[in-house]
Amino acid sequence: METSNKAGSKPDGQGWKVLSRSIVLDYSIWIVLAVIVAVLSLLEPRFLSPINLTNILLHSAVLGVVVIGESICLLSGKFDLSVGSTAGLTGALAAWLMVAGQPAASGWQLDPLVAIPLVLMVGMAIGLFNGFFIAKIGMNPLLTTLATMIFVRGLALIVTSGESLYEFPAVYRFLGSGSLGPVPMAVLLLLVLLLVFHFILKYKKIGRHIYIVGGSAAAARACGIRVERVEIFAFVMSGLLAAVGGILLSSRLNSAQTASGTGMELEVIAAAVIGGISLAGGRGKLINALAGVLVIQSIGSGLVLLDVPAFWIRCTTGLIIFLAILIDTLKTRLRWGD
Amino acid sequence: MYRGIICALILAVIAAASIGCDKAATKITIGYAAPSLADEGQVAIREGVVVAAAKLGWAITTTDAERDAAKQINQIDALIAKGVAALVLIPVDSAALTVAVEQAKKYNIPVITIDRKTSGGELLLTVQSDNYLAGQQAGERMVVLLQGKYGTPRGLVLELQGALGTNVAQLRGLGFNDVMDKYPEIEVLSKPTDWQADKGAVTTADILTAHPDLDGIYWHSDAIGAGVVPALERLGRLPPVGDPEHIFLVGIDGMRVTLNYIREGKVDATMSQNLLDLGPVALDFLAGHFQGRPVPSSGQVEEAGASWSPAQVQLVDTGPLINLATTPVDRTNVDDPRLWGNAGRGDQDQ
Repeated sequence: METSNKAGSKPDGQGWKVLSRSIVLDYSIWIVLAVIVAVLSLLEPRFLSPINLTNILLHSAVLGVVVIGESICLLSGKFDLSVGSTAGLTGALAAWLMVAGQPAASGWQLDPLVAIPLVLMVGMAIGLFNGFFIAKIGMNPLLTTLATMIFVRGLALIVTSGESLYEFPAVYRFLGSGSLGPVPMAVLLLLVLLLVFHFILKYKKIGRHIYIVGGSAAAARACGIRVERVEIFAFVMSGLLAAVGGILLSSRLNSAQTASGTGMELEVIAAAVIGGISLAGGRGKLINALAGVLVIQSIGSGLVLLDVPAFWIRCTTGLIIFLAILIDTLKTRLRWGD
Repeated sequence: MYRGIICALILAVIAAASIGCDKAATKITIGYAAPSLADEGQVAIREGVVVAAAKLGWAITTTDAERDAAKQINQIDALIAKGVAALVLIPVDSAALTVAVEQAKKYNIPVITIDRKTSGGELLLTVQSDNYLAGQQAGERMVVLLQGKYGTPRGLVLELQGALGTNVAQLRGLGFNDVMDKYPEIEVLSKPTDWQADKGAVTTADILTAHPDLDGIYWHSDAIGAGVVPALERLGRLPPVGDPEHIFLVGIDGMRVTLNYIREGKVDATMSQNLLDLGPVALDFLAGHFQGRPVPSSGQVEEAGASWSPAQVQLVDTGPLINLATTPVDRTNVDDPRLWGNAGRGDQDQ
């Protein structure tokens, strides 16, 4: 949408050149990813081994699902810090409902097919709570979701009594650690969710409204869009997808801890921003956010394979994320033909 | 144009980061998955593992999970992809890391855990400190101190417990109380602190209000004691060791701060874990495993002159478990360089 506008506004002869340049720039994060993968596999050929590539995809699944929700929230011009805690709580809650024979669990031994919808609803309820107070009452999104982040983490502590709950039913385990043929189930779920939300954002009214509201809430209101409803929708999706992420995470670990998902919100936001989702709202593509996730996980795995000393890994990760964001910023300048 | 520059920069960063990491293909490489490198105990354990690997001529790749179980599993996946010959880890979470142990099993990679075992899976070996023995030693020391004061073992002792759900706190409590139960004239008040220094401080102050005649305090970890000592000082209840009004202070762990308190005559004794030996003992058995020697599953492991010897071996659900002896530390041996709390101290003084 953006692309065609800009191409059209340029003088005739340059139209094609600018258009192709725009396409390259729009998807430049994939080029960055390709460069990172190329460098890592040159330095350590085992980076490209099937086992490592499967690892990276599998490790990307949890983060990726949560990034979809956060991206929707960012696109609407808001911000959700509570996703990591929500993921932690939903995993813990699912465990508490289902697990048998551990004193910290409820002892109800609910079927996963009952427990999963329940915890998804809890995720949506947290999103609804955030959305209501931010959109309707006008509270600051950063501070409000910071408060819910702390509160929800506290709920996880109450649910688990600070202990790990483990040994889930087979159906539940399958979601995070099973696979259909060679494809891990969690990766498949990520792809399906990505397609669904890509479709919603691109072709459904609510999706287009998210971009418009994120671009300028005042303009959207002037066009008759019910801005509050759009923003609440974005938070509910963020909560829902954080809950899906929490289910996948606990399923893969075959256990739930009070601290699960701690710090995830920052990784999620980093991945979205690396993928070109604008913190100011209204600009960015879900598909690129996925590339942001792959960049983070590739670096994580690559640095271990390359034997980078553990004491340096955090610095190196921070530096690479910084550079990726720098590219994104400079890209915006390039778009205007510097 | 910018993109070219930045791609080059990213390349440079990755290349620079991997410089100095020699990849001698003939060497045995093992992976060490640390739960965190941000506390002195973890640094000491890692030091022991790295030194032992160097002695054996092995290369070692260390990862830092930053206390995140999912991150530790991801890092172990990467170590497996790297093709390490064996994995040594301290599980961030016993239940979650079972998944990683099962994954390693699929690739026939032997796994050793240090400090605690996983709740499931098959381990070549677990090497940890003998927490029951540490509690027992602390109890015996407390008895001796009380006997010195009253001529017979009696009095009132406060036990500051770790997180009650943890195996470590249970064993440290059991070892201590099994000794105390032999002396009916000693009364023990047990209070939970969740390993927190501030809870230790608050509980101590509360108990002293209710029982000003308290004779001794035993803490499950020097991390708790680090809060108790300043609290006693603030209350004016910390006359030096040897003063008749002194409240006997006995702990477990052998942290640097506690060794200093012992030197200053504030704390009586601590049962030091032999953290620097966890890695060497683990890697010795791993080297033996590579040569086809089985790991013992019962009895005792002894090594002349080693402070962790004798170590008790038992067979648990995950495999053999070796409990290294802890070392009682008081004024007489507080400067022993083998204590992990003294590691690196020489460098700092110079």
